[in-house]
Amino acid sequence: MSTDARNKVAELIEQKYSRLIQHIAQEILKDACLTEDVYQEVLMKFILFHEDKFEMPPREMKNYLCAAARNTALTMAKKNGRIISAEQEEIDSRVLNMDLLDMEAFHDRYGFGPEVQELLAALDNKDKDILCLKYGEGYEDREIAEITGLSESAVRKRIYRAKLQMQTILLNHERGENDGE
Amino acid sequence: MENDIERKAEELLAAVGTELSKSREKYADAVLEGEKIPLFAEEKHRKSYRKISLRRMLILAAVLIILMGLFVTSVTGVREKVLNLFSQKGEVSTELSSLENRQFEGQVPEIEPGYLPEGYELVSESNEGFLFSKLYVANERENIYLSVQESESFSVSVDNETTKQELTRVNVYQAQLFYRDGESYIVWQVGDYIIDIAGTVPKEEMMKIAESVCLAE
Repeated sequence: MSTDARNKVAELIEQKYSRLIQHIAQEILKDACLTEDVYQEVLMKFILFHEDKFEMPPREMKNYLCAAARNTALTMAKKNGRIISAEQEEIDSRVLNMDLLDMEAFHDRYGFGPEVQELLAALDNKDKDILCLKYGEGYEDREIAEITGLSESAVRKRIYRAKLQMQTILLNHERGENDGE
Repeated sequence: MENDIERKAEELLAAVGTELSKSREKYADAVLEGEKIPLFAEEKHRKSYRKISLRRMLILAAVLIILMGLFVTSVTGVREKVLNLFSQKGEVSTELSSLENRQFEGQVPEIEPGYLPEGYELVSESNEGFLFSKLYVANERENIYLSVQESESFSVSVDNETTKQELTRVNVYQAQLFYRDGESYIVWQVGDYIIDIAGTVPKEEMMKIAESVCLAE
C-alpha cells in the first residue's frame, strides 16, 4: 500500500471510527494514554494486514474494529499489568452486552427456538467474536486469529467445540420433544 | 439423523454469527452517535467473584502459614512432589522428569504424545504463553487435540446426557475420562498445569495416548 493510500485509510478511520475504538478501549483500560496506544495499534494492524480491504463495507468495518479494539485492549491490559488479578478474572469473565441482539429474528427468520439461548450462554466472548467474523463477515480462520489474538488452531478448536456444543443442544431438544410425544 | 443435526448446527451457528454481526453494527452506530452503551452486560456475578477471590486469599494465607510453620515434610508434601513428575515408561526403564527444574520462561511446558494411532500427523502447534496445544489429524475428519494450560485458567463443560464418564488414572495422576461412540476426552492435572486431550478415538486408545504424554524435547 502506498503512503498516500495509508494516509487515506488512517484519515478515514480517524474521521469515522476513532470514537468507537476509543470508547471500547477506555471502558476496559480506563486510561487515556493506553487507550491512545490501542487506537494506534488497531490502526497500524488494519493498514498492515488489510490493504485488500481498503473499501470494506461499513458493517464489516465496524465488526472488525469492535473485535480488534476489545481484544487489543485486553491484551494491552495484561501486558501492562494494568488490571490486577481479581479484576482481570472479572473482566475476562464478563459477558458482552447482548441487549442489541435481535432474539426474535432467530425464530422469525431462521425458525430456531430456545436452543439459541442455550448456545449463547455456552459461548464466551471470544467464541462470539469468532462466529461473528466467520459467519457474519466471511473471514478466514487466519484472519480471525489475527484479530482476536488467538492462534489459527485455537480458532479452529473453538469453532469445532461450538459445533459440538450446538449438536449436543439440538440432540437434547429433539430427545426432549420425542419424550414429550 | 446425524447429518441432519450437523447441518442444523451449522445453520444455527451461521444464524448466530449473522445476528451477532448485526447487533455489533447497531452497537457501533450507537457509540458513534454519542450514546453511552456499556460494552459488557450488567454484572450479576460481581459478588461471587469477590467471594472467590477472598476464598483464594484465605487458602493462600493458610498455605503460607503452613509452609512457614512446618519443618517436617508432611505426607501431602511428599505426594505433591511426586505429582510434579512426568513419567515416561520405556521398554527397559521408566523416565521421570520434574516440572520444577524446568525453565518455561513464562510459558506453559510443551508436551507431546509418545504414542498416536496410525495415520495421525501433526498439523498445527501453538504456545500462547498460557496455553500450549497440538492438533493431529488423520483422514481429514479424524483428529486428536492435545493442550496444556495453567490450572487456574482451566474451565470446560461436558454434557452429562450424551457423554459417559469415569474416574481413571494416567500413570500416577487421577484423571477424568469422558467418552461416547468413537469420541473421547480426558483431563488430568500435573502440578500447576492441566493437560487435556480430545479426539475421535475410543476410550482405550485415548488412555494409551494419555499415558504416553511426556515433556517435549
